Parts: sequence; structure tokens; C-alpha cells
Amino acid sequence: MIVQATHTVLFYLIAALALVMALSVVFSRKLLRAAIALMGVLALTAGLYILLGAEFLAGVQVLVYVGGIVVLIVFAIMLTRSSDLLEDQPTLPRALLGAFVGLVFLVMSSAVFFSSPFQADTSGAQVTDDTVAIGRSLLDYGPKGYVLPFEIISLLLLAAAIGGIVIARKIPAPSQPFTSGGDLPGEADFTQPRSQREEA
Amino acid sequence: MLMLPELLVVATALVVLVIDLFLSERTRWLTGLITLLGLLAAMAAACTNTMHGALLGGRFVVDAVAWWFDILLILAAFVTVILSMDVLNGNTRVRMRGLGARAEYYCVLLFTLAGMMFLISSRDLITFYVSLELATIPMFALAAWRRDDARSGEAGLKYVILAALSSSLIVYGMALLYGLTGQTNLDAIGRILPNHVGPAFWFAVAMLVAGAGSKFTVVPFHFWAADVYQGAPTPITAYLSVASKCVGLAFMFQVLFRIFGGWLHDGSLLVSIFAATTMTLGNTVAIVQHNIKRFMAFSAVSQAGYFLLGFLGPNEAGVAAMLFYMLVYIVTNLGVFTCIIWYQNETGREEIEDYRGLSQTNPIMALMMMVSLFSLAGIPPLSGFVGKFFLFSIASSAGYHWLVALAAVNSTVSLYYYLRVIRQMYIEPPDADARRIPITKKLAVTEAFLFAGVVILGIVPTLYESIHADTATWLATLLR
Repeated sequence: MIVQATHTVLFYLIAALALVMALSVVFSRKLLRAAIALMGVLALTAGLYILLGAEFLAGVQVLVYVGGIVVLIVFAIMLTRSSDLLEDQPTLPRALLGAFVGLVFLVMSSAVFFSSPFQADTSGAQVTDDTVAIGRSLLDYGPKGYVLPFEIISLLLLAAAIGGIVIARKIPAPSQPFTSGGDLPGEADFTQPRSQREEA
Repeated sequence: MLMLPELLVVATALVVLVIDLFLSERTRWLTGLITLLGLLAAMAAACTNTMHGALLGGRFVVDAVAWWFDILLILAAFVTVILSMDVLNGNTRVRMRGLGARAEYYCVLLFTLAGMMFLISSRDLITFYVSLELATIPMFALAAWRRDDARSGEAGLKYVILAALSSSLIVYGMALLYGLTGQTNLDAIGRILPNHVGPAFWFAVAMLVAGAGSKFTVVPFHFWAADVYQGAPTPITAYLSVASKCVGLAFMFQVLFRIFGGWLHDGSLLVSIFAATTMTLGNTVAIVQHNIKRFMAFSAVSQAGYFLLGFLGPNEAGVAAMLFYMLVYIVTNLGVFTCIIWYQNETGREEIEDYRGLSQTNPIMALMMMVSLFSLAGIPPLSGFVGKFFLFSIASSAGYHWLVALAAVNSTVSLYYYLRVIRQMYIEPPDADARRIPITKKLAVTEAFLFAGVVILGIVPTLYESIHADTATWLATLLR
């Protein structure tokens, strides 16, 4: 009984705090503050996971989002000295339109949630938080395993990393050839367009 | 082996990436050749595989439709790689700046292809979603590949933001589906879902249709297309216009047939409205474009509207008609893009009026471009006409005669703006100092093959018949 009540109180406390933090992410006019508030949102979400009995997920949430992604964002903000950069003030019609769309979406989705009978877990299986079982099912190639999406995600990470590195690499100087960024010998032939090479 | 084509594509991507480390700049063109060989092997593996079946406990299924999509996607990627080779090897008269990192380019391209092939074979929400992401996220990087071109960066950024929005809508819709049915298997969701029609169901339909529409450039979710098509490097524009369109269709197949199959008959009116707005708006806006890549973007939007006709009914012939028109569309659109890429390689221009006098500076290419454009407009006896004919007859047999009439009017309008390009090529005189524009062997052979495809697919109906025979029972097994 007491445990139940504590759970409920904690849930509403964490949810309300997360909402306040989320609002300050959106409304804060300073990037760094927004990033810190985002960290709060993500950490509080981890709290919600713990209340639901998914400690492992909570740990991953803290490690990946709070510890990894937000720190990266903060680094990016600090390194580019844009911490006190103010974004453009949106025009009134735009702000009104945005608020209207957001409001309609909120009303619609809450109406849907209150009026729909969502299924509980139909399999009747107990939700376990066994990391061994999670790890096994990630690499299991049977009907209950997730090895295919797991491998697809690893390909996605590789492709995104390669693409990101190529785009973010320093642009070569105009006099340098373009094919490899100009950092390799033997590229001299490519410094001129084909027409000039033919004439030479 | 069922997954062999996908595995070959992924293996080729990794081989290209590693082998690039050991190549000097002079021999780096080999990466393109290796990519082509890998795609050929994948195509051979797909063609020789006549088995259908499931792998990994039913998470990966090859059926007739997935098999045809695999073939179409590999074909699109193969031609795109050939079209990219001249630009990336610097074998052009006018240099396209800031386009480098060949091996990485091919590697990322192959990864998107693998994602597309996994998407149509996936059977549960998680695999479905992650393969969609594998097909789109690396594409942002490809769109922004020209690093010293502001438009390319803009294209990449716009693509990221709008595709992220549509992905979030899709995930929201999927979460609602899971909440309603308690299942992650797409077939199981499709079976259970008709018992749960209610507000949440409609919300999920809205979310997934918006997400799928954005991937397939259905009006009003098409906003990313024009800027991304214009800014991306031209071979990537070609790839976006065919492969990305093809994966959009695959996504629609999975969502509309597999998940909402039981409801699709009641939803036909909605589909017909989307089809009508898409083809009309795409055609109207294409008329006023000056940049050929933007022009092709809106042409692609209007073509998406014709594809939607195949979902009306729904009946089995629609599946075959859409697949066949996708084949025709891939061949024809790549035929047009071969000309665009060749012209840009040789002259560095991409405005429609820059094509003036092409019939005198290179008559053969002008002829092939004209025939491809006529095929896009649907002039008989070219393949575009046959493809559109099948789609229109689907709409007609479903009772949407007003839509067929509108589509016919739209085809006529599209003929007008395709003729704008042809007018520049044939009626306007060339510049006074214009000389004959040469073409590289690679592009000439590619264009000849595509041209043959455009003509032959319209005259010889064998391929349509085999698609139809393969997929005749596909829909019935879904909607039973």
C-alpha cells in the first residue's frame, strides 16, 4: 500500500519535473541552458524507467543520452562559441501557427489516449530486467531473437559515421585536387580539367 | 540462399571501404569497378534465386513482391554507380568541385541499398523501422556530399530535418499500432487491427500515411523534394528520384497492404484524393521551373500520383501494375538523368534553357532524351504509356472514373512541360560558338541500354506478364 502510494507520488513528481524541464528546453533562449535542461529531461526519463522496473534501460538511458549525447551537444556549443547566440525571434503569424498546430496535436493525442483501450501485454510474460536475457535475445537468430535489426543498426552506425566524417572533413584549398582532398601524392593529373589535360 | 543478394551488397560495401586504404590515387577508380561487380553479383544472386521463404524465425521473408523490389533496387543502384563514375573520377570537361571520397561514396550508397532491400523483406516493426533508417540516414550525407557547395549543404540539412520529422511520425504511428494490438509482427498486426478501429487506429493511420507520403513525395508531404533534388550532386539526385521513390513504394506496400490491408478498401477514397492532389500539384508546379533538376523533382512528384492509382480497389492487378510502372519509371527517369549528368559533365550547366540547340551539338543524345521525356509523359508506344495504361485501368475498374479523367488531363499537361525541354533542344538555335559535345563511352553505353529499355518495355509485354504471374496471389494471401 505504502509502496504503491510512493510509486504514484514519485511518478507524478518526476513527470511534472520532466515536463517543466522540457518546456525550458523549448523556451530557453540560450543554447547552453537548453542543453542542460535537456539533460534533466533525459535523466528524469531514466527515473521513469526505474519506476517501471526497467533498471537496465534506465542505465543505458543515462549512459547513452545523459552521458554521451548531451555532453557532445554541450561540447559542440562550447567549441563553436555559440553559447550565447540568440535565435531569431519568430514572426507573430508563425508563432501563432506553431502554437496552434502544437495545441491541436496535444488535444488530439490526449483524446486518443483517453478514449482508446490499449492492450496490455498479451503474452502474459513477466517483464524481466535480466541483462543476460536481453543480450541473448539481441543476438538470437530464432523467432524471438533480434539479430537482424541489431546488425542493421550496426550497418547504419557505420554508414552514418563514414558519411559524417566525409562531410565534416576540412575542405581542401582551391588549388588542390578534389578527388581525395588532395592529401595524397600522384594527384597532379587531376588538378586540371580534362579539356586542358587533353591539350597538354 | 535467400539473403544472399543483401549480404553481397553489404560485403561489397565493406570490401570497397577496406580496399580503398591500399589504393593509390591513380588506381582509386577501381573502387567504382568493384562496386559494379558486387552489384552484378548481387543481381545474379537475386535472379537465380527462385525460392521464396523465411529466415531468422520469420523476421526476413522473401516473397514475389520482395524479389521484384530487390531486382528493381539493384538495377537502380547499378546505373547510378555507372553515372557517378565519370564525375567522381574527374573525367569531366567541367569539374564539379568538392565531390570527392570515392570509396566512401560507393560504400554509403551500397549501405542505403542494403537498407532498402531489408525494408521490403522485413516482417516486424523493429526491423522495418531500422531498415527504413538505414535507407534514409546515409542519404542525408550523400545529398550533402559536395562540401564546398552551399546548395548541397542546404539540401542535406533540409533533408535531415524533414526526414527526421517524418520518421518521428512513423515511430509514433508504430507505437500506437503496438499499443492497439500488442504485436510487433506486421502480418499479425494486419490481422488483428480490423477489430480495433477507433480513435487510436485513425491516429495511427494518419501518422503512418503522413510518414509514408513524405518518403514517397505525396502532396502535401513533398516539401523536401525540390530543394534536395536541386542541391544534391546530380548522380545522387538520380538515385533519389528512382531508388528512394522505389523504397517509398515498398514502404507504402508494407503499410497500406500489409498493415492496413483490411481497411484499404474503405480507404480508397482517401487514396484517390491523395493521388489527385499529388499529380495535379506536381504537374502545375513543374510548368514554371527553370532548373532541370527542380523540374525533374516536380515531375517525380507527379509520377508518384500516378503510382497511387494502383492502390485503389485494391486488387491483384494493381500490385503488378505498380511494380511494372516502377520498372518503367526507373529505366525512363535514369535515361533522362543520364542526359542531364552528361550535359552537366561536359558543359557545367543545369538550366532548362541551357539545352538549346542540343539537337545540333549532339543529335543522338537529344533524340534519346526526347524519347525518354515522351515516355515519362506517356506517349504510345513507349513504355511509359503502357505503364500508365495499366495503372489507369486499375483506377477505372475500381470505379474512379473521375480520377482517370483527371489523370489523363494531367498527362496532357505534363506533355506540355516535357515539350518545353524538347523545344529548347530542337527548335531554339545553338549558341554561335557551340561545338559538338562529345560523350564518354560509359555514359553512351548506359544511355543506349536505357533507351532500348524505354522502347522495348513498351512493345514487348513479357516482363509485365511475368510480374503479373509472380504476384497474382500475393495480395490474396495478405487479405485473406
